[in-house]
Amino acid sequence: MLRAIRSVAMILAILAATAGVGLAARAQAWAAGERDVTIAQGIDAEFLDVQMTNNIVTMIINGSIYDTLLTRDKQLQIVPHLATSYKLVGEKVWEVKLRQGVKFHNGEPFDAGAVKFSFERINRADFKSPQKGWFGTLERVEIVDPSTVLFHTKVPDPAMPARMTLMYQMAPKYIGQAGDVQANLKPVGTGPFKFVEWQKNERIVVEANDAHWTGKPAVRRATWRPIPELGARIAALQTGQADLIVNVPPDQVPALATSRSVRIEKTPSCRIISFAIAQIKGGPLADKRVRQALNHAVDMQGILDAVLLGNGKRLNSWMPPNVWGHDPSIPFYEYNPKKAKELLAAAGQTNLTLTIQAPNGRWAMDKDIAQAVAGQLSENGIKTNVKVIGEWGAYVRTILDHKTEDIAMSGWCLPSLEPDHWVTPNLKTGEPVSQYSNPEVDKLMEQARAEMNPDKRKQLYSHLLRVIRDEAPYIFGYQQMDIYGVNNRLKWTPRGDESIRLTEIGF
Amino acid sequence: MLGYVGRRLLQSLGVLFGVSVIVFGLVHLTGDPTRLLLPLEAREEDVRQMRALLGLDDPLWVQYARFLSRAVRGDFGLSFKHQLPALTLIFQTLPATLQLTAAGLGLALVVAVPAGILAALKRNSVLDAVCSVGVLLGQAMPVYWLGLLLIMVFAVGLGWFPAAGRDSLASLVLPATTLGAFSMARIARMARSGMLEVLAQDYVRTARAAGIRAFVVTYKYALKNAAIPLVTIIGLEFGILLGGAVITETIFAWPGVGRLAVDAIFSRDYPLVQAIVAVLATLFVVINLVIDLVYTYLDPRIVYVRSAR
Repeated sequence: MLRAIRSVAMILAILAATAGVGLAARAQAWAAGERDVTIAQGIDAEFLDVQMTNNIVTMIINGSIYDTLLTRDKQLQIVPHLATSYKLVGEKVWEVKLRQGVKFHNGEPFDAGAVKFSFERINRADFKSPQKGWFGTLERVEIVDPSTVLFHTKVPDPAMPARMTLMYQMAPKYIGQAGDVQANLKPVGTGPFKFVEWQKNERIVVEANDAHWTGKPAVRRATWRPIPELGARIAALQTGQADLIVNVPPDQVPALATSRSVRIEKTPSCRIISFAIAQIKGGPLADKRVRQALNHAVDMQGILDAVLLGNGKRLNSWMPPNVWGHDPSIPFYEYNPKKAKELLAAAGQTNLTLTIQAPNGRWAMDKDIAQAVAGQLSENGIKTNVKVIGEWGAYVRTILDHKTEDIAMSGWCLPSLEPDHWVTPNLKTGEPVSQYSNPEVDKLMEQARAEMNPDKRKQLYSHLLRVIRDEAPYIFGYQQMDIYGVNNRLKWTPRGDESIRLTEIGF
Repeated sequence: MLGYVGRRLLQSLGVLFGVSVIVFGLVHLTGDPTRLLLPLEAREEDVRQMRALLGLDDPLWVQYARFLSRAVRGDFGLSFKHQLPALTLIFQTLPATLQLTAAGLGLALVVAVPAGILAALKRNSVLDAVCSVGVLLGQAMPVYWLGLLLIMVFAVGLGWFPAAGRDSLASLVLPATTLGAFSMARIARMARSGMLEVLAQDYVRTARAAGIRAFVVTYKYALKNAAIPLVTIIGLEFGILLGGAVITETIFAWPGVGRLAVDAIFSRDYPLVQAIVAVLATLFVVINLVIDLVYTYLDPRIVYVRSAR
């Protein structure tokens, strides 16, 4: 009997020791100072080597440690950052002047060499960067002097300034000595915050870089925490464990809005959601009138009000107002079931049956919105059902193989906020994501992409978007609302590019 | 005995080999990870370059041979997604999972064993009924629901514990309770039925008839024998909890292997999935071997011998 007790006791002791060790040592709760913030997102950073990622959450975290050549201000206009000026000196040459006196966190100076190094690193054959495509038009970087570089592009590229807002600057000496793996685990940048520590899936801590050229940040220390479960994330906000949380779903807004210690902040996102009509499949969907009829047969505003509680703004074409090139004068498709029936009759398609495919949980209430759309179409004479493909990998597969159902719910946002990056990948013939093909529209896109004069370019995009609206390759949907939960001790309002900048947080 | 241990170790190696083949096959069936690692609009040439870099162009048996030859030397390759050695990632996160599992199991044992035994001793009493209801609830409550309920009540409502994360000992309480609830119920049931079975044995009746005090009969004779199957259960429960911690870890943002595994599966991160399964399978096999050896220590009647031919 003693043996049994001893065994059980030993087992319990082992368990207790395993459980207790390490945690007791951490009992020192992070002495959260008054000027410290904790931000809870849904996932951990994939990398702290910013050139290894294209994931928005990762880029938000990295954005506190690294700077870009240009950046976008709160109104999303491109402004100088590490580059103080840029101008075209030839059809395919940009002259970029760099800010002087900037140092990386390890003390090495930021100069033209760093710019050249950063660009060439992404294009190294053995470097697995998803950012290669972002700078595909840039052929080479030429150093003129330590604070001047020339960008030589392969073709005339009016989007170069937009690309420069994504050119994160890496420290050449540091990476040369420490290597790529260390650069990811102990990042060094020129940013307003310095890296402190990274516990995978637990926290990333950064502290203020008072020597930053934009001045002393108001936030002294920031902790980025991944809390994947929505309920726990909201609870963390309510208990004060987190000061700022992201992706609050529309139905949780009323509950948080009544709280005294926290508030809801929202902004129309650059992320747009629509229903791509697989015109390349041919058949009835190849007829423009059918596609226009689908747009008239859906009361998109009504659906947004009912399902998202108004947390979505209708699109008039395939571009949100957040992106330069958007034209607010393009009319929305009005909800007009009668017109829809007329168009269908004219096209000879009065007995249409369609399937919409939707993901589940990729975007707020995605499945429910798809079902609402299907319901309305069915009410208006177009029998529609919904196929939910829950696993995102499988969903993406159908899009890339161009084997989607008749209609596929699609979302889009790229951090470049460059208009060509909205239309070409989604609508140009043969592009990986595109389910639409129209040589006339292709020509318009190529024209707009290459036009160097900004005013002319804006007109071209206006025209292109109008044509797209008319062609109706989508049942045009909505701009998402980015909804954040914020502790009232923070002074902060959200940005329209899904980003969170620590330098924009005050108290 | 040494022969027995030796044979078990060999068997374990066989099991691990089989597991590695199955996992390798399954994971490669889930599809191509390259498209998930690159942006949606990436060009075909970038995709092809990435595939070559990741070694995915070789035939399946070549990839498996390469994986196995490195795995036996402890090299499970670089995680596709994190670009860090898979084993490093696992060893970074395993302590957290072990902590959680140990705490959950410990809590379950401390509550369930006494409860089950008392229920057996006081059979058909109010205590027994309460225990039965508790067992039913414990096995019926979904882990997900219980976790969120505990957060709502004890974190947001009462503010006794943090809602998520792994900051201090206090952070362990809610996740451990959530994880342990199901085990608690199962162990209580086992303890109760084991105890009842032993109490019905002849030798217990004899002991009682011989005038030995009830207290002594219970603890010296009955409990000692009821403990044996319980120890086996503990080994199995540990393995189950190790795998089932995924949901608990996700709810409480506990940085453990379970979460790592789920992310890896959804990203089709082959090396990481294979490495995690290999490590957890090894852990499970080792723990059960240890439990079986403890078994012989507990019950001297049991001796592992070569079966007579």
